[in-house]
Amino acid sequence: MHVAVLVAGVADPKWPLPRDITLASLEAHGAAHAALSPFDEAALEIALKLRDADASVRITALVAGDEAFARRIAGWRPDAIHRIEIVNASRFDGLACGRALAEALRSLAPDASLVLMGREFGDFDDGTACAALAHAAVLDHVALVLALERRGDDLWAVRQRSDGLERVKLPARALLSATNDLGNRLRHPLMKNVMMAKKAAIASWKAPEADDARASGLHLDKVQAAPEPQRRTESEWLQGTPRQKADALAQMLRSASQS
Amino acid sequence: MSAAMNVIVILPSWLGAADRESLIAMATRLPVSRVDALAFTGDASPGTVAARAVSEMDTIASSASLVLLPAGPDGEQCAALVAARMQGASFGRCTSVEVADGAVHARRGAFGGRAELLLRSDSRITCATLRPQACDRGAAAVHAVEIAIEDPPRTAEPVASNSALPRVDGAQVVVSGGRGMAGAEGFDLLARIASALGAGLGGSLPAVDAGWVPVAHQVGQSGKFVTPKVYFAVGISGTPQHLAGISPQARIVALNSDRDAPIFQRCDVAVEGDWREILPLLAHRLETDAQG
Repeated sequence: MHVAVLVAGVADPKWPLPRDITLASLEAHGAAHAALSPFDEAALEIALKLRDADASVRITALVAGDEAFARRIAGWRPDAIHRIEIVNASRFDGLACGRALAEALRSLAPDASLVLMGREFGDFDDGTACAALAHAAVLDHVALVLALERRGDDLWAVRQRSDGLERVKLPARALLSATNDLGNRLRHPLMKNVMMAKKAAIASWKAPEADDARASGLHLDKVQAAPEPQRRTESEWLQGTPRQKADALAQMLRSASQS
Repeated sequence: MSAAMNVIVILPSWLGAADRESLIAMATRLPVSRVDALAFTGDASPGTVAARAVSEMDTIASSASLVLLPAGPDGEQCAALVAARMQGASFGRCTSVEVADGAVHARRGAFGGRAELLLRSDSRITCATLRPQACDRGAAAVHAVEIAIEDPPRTAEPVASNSALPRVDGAQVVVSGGRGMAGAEGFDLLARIASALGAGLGGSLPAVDAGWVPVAHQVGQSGKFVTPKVYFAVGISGTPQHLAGISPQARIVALNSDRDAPIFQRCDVAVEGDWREILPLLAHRLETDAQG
């Protein structure tokens, strides 16, 4: 079984964004402070668990990041790893991003029967890219996956629905977009693999320019710092002993729940 | 008024009645003459809804159409599929959408809500998702179509939940914990408080990531958007990613031991203190009152 894992990375949120916000400065900031998102981690860990249980599983990692970030992913010892370069414009257009990822899959992992990615693909995406990829690559999409279970020859995905969890039998080819859960927190890489990753040759693949977002009629007019949330009033500070604070909170919360 | 543009509102079955009306009302306030509302009933996934919506839109889509859907993982998925099938554009989860000069303009968050993208589409079909917000209807006429659909047969089974934690959806009060809870123990207290109040139990992404509360209870940019009267945030620092999941109308009551926590710059009621001291007293007080 061949599993492809798509990893985008995000800018580590503990670093403030640059003062002068442009697409280029955000791109540079994201590269300088690249981190795995909880959703990237979930996708990678689910793939690793699958290989732990079945040594015949091969993992190909496709990393939409710079070489240093790709080397970090190589530390988890995928069987193959490629950097994929997606043109800037496709970052904010989830459909263009999905088409570019489908092209990368066709070129780099054409026989992958299972594709795993986080439910958001990088800092510009809010869940559009995975659906767009499923459409472009003609894959059944199972969203919000927490874990995989094997029953005989069949694979089942445990996924979050709006009204609870469900277990879904996977078709022969599927795209799973993973969400974070205690059971899929990413393990630490082994030090020997981290050291080997530093020397590994990592090939790079570039999305064709034809997948530029302008083809879909979507344009980015401006990128700027998000507006600060509007405060309505000054905060009211509760004073007193812990018991007095607890009593005041009880009154406030009960009043809101009963009104 | 953009006479050539119409708005199509897709109302999936997972959307409640109040949110359905809100989304329609938001659409009617745009400068368009016609709003078509596709109201779905039945247990259907985003893929099934998108496929059926596209077939309906073949007859109602104008030379330019804006397609609105409710924000949320299922909404974004559905919007992407509609746009992909119709070779259109999808903005994703927007904070605002406007129609002007024959184009659709939108604002969308990025980088965990710290950056804002100002996007424009001149595609024939433009999809966007929005958080439904109650408002009066505008001038545009509404044409509603009810569509009953079910997913095609598939092999799936429910997974028995090992928790009966109260959900955040529709709760008047949400009691929520973050990284500062430092473990699952504090969430037991929060669950007792939520139970005594009939409130929902939420958590920030770090709390979900640590396994202290299930992902279905996650509030924030990547989780649920909640609209309670009061949001009680305990041990939550107040990142933009988390605050993006709380209605601006909600009154935020924050308990945190760090007086410099950003949540204190945003909340309405601030309580500096150790949750280990205050929450047991609060839980006891609420439970005692409930028995009395």
